[in-house]
Amino acid sequence: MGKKIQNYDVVVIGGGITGAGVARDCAMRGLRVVLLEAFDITHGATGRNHGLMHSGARYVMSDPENAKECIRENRILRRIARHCVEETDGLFVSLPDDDLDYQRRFIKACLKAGISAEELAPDEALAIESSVNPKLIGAVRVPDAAIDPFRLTIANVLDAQMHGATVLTNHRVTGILVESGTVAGVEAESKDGKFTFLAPVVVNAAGAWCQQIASLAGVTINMFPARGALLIFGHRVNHMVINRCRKPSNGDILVPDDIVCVLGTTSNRVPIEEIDNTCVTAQEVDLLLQEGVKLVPSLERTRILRAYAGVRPLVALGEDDSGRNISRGIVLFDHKERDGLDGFITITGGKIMTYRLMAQKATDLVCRKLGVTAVCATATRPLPGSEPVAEPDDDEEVENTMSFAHRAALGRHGTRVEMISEDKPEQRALVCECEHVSHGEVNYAIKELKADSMEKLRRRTRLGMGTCQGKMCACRAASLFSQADGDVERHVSDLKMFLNERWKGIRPIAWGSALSEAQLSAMTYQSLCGIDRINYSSPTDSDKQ
Amino acid sequence: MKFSTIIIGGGLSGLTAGITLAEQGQRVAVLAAGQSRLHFTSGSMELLGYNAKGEQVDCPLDECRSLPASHPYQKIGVENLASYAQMAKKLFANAGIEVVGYETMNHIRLSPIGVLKPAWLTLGDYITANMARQFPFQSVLIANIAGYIDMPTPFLKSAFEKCGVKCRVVEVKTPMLENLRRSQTEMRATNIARVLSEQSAVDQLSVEINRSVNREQAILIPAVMGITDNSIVQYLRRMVTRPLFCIATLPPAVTGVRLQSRLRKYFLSLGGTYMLGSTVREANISSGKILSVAAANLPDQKLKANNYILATGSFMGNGLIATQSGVIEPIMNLDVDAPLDRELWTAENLNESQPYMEFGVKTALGLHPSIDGKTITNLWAVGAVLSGHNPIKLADSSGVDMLTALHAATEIIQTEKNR
Repeated sequence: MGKKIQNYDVVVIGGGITGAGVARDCAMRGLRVVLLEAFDITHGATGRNHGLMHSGARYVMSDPENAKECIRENRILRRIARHCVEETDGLFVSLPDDDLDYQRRFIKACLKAGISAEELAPDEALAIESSVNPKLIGAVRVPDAAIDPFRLTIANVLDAQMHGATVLTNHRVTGILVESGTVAGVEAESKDGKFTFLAPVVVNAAGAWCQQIASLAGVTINMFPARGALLIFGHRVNHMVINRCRKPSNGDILVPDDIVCVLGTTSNRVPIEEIDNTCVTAQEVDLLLQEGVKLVPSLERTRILRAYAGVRPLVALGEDDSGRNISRGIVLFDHKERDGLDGFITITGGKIMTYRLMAQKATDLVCRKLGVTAVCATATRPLPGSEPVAEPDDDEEVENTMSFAHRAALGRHGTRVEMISEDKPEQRALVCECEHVSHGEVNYAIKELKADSMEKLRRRTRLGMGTCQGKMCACRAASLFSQADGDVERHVSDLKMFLNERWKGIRPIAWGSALSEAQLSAMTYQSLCGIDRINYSSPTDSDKQ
Repeated sequence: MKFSTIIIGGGLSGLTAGITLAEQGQRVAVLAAGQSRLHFTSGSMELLGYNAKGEQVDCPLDECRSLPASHPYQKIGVENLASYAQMAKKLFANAGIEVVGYETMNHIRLSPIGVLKPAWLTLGDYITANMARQFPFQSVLIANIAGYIDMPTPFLKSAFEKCGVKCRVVEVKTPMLENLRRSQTEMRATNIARVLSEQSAVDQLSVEINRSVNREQAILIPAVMGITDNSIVQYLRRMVTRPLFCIATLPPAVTGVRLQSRLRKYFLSLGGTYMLGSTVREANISSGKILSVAAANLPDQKLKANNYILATGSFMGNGLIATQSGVIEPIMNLDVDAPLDRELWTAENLNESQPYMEFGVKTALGLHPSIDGKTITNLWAVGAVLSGHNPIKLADSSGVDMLTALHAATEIIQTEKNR
């Protein structure tokens, strides 16, 4: 528990990729920064998207400026966040219903924006990506890739902390302090009580919740929250990112993600009151499947693991009910100029791809306000886990002698895998068999990454995200937490809540093997174990939703 | 191939029916697809653990009278339950399975995470308490096997302490078990049971347990011994210096595998035919009667019988299949109790009563299913494939499995006598 009143140079509100990026940039420029997150890092749209590392091609027709930003940042992330990126390349596929003329204009626009775009004949495309619909009439290869948003955010948070930043999860901002037209700090609440964080600058990076945060400062922002639903499949059917080569629409992107793949997305404007509702409807599922199967027919026979939805933090500008035509560009408000409130900045819009640039722009403004001249170094300095490796040859040998779990952990934590010990048999024991998470990695996440609940552990290690959806590993992990701090009631409640969270994503797709697996899980945890009979009031209730 | 009765499904329900019929000298075939729900169970059988309000039930037979008409117990007649329950207990005894418990009074079993749940019958090597939640010991030692992570000892210790039982947890290591531990994934219950099937390994274990025990009155170990029978558990009991009992673990359940295997062996000893890997794909039905069935691994064989029992289980046993647009019984497309709209299948909170748990084959008359409203007179549906009850909320799954199977078997025996 920290002091009730604390002083900083800057408060960052929001633990998504934007807030994490701002905190890192500020800390690297020598500012004293605190990041406040109401739930956990990656709680909002950052943890609820495709994990697509855009080349910019998807926006090249509607928003070429945005596309150019994407390709520039794409090249930067491949360097600084190497361990978060899987180089897959992407295909834009034209099906018989699509227009080859669109494809021609698309290629032209890509090249103009500086995005490489290689036209492939249908058989060439099938040769490099066999999952794609064999009826395709054209394809274009672009430098799309897959990126792990959890890893990326955690790496930014870690680096911010290594540069002296304070990162507080489960701290909800309840008020913005304003003194004679200038922001003086924020008030926040956690299970330990109420806190005041004094700072001359406050950065609002709360994503879809930006409007609520701004209203605490008496400032009006009209967000245009656009909900996107996605499906995760239990196998990775595709090697490359697959896009439909047409005007962006529902269910036309399939992104490989480690051993699974993700189909997205829908886009619907939702009322601001409903942005916390992340449940997916049967209609959304049916729509995604109907379109996704056209792109990759084998999806029809592939088990769906779960469905989830995120809310894009777009800002309202025109009259468009879907949000597809609203720019995904960066929105930076200096509320002094806009509303006469000094020291308050909102950074929103954009996308994961451009988070670093968003952070840079916001931090530049923070520095101007504080009279700090330090320059941004985030484009060149690698994130923790992606530091250059000295002798790659030797390392390959080491990698060959590693266990599966250690290799999986190498993927998740990059060079920081060295901090995960495999010396003792209890450290090597596998806790999560689907994602190869060892006891040692769980300990690392508890100690170094401040995981104190099952959900936090999941976001930091992928535990429970695999095909069994926590059936085996969840109870093991809860037991390990209890062994660590002795608080049995808290961790049993947390286990119950974790399984309920998993269920929210299974429920919209609960047919076929998803339903039989859910029944098996219920027979295990409820019938056999009786977890449904347990009712402890839990201090981790703040982790909910 | 011609039998008196063909049973589709080789789990608890199918084997209960098969044994009962074979004991009467019938020619019986059990067609089993593969894994059974028993492999995920606890070593206890439940008749009725909770009533519709969710309250704990002390006397299950009495409480069964207030179940709704849709419940399988009502369909087989609540007045018959006492005698079926007696038959079930006798069946276990005949199969060489030692159980404790009474249909007139539940007892308490200890779940793998330390929840105390009502049960009807429990394997003799498990620890149990009475309905007042009193265990027979004031102090216990939980001796877990080092590296075994499917028994959450902190939860169990806390459960004992809440009941006023002193509890100490130790981890025991033996050279043979440490050897198993070298591989990251080998410390699973069934693998440990394989190592502990040898007396030399159990000798090592007993030395370590005896060295660990202080003044505790009893020793508790995870139920990771005795995959084919409980003789090795009995052997360990003789080698240790205190009374020794087992605690249920998370799956795979060694004693569930044991139960399945004992029942199957007993069925075979009675002359029954058990065909493993035989997933039944279709049935030849004419004028309300099944003429034959065909299994996927024997495509050219018409398997014929006078009577058929469907004991294929619920969704997890593939006895029911949910598609994007409806629930079906996949072999004969029997009528099912389930709404078409899949948004009505589930509830938002995982721990609420989930509607899909009650889905199953519709049986208008006794246990006879129907197709398009037309009853199949020589087919009985038993166990988890039946609709009309929530096995999780009522804690009645093994009771429904066994008692409906016994009811079907009793009717079939009668039918054959009249033939």
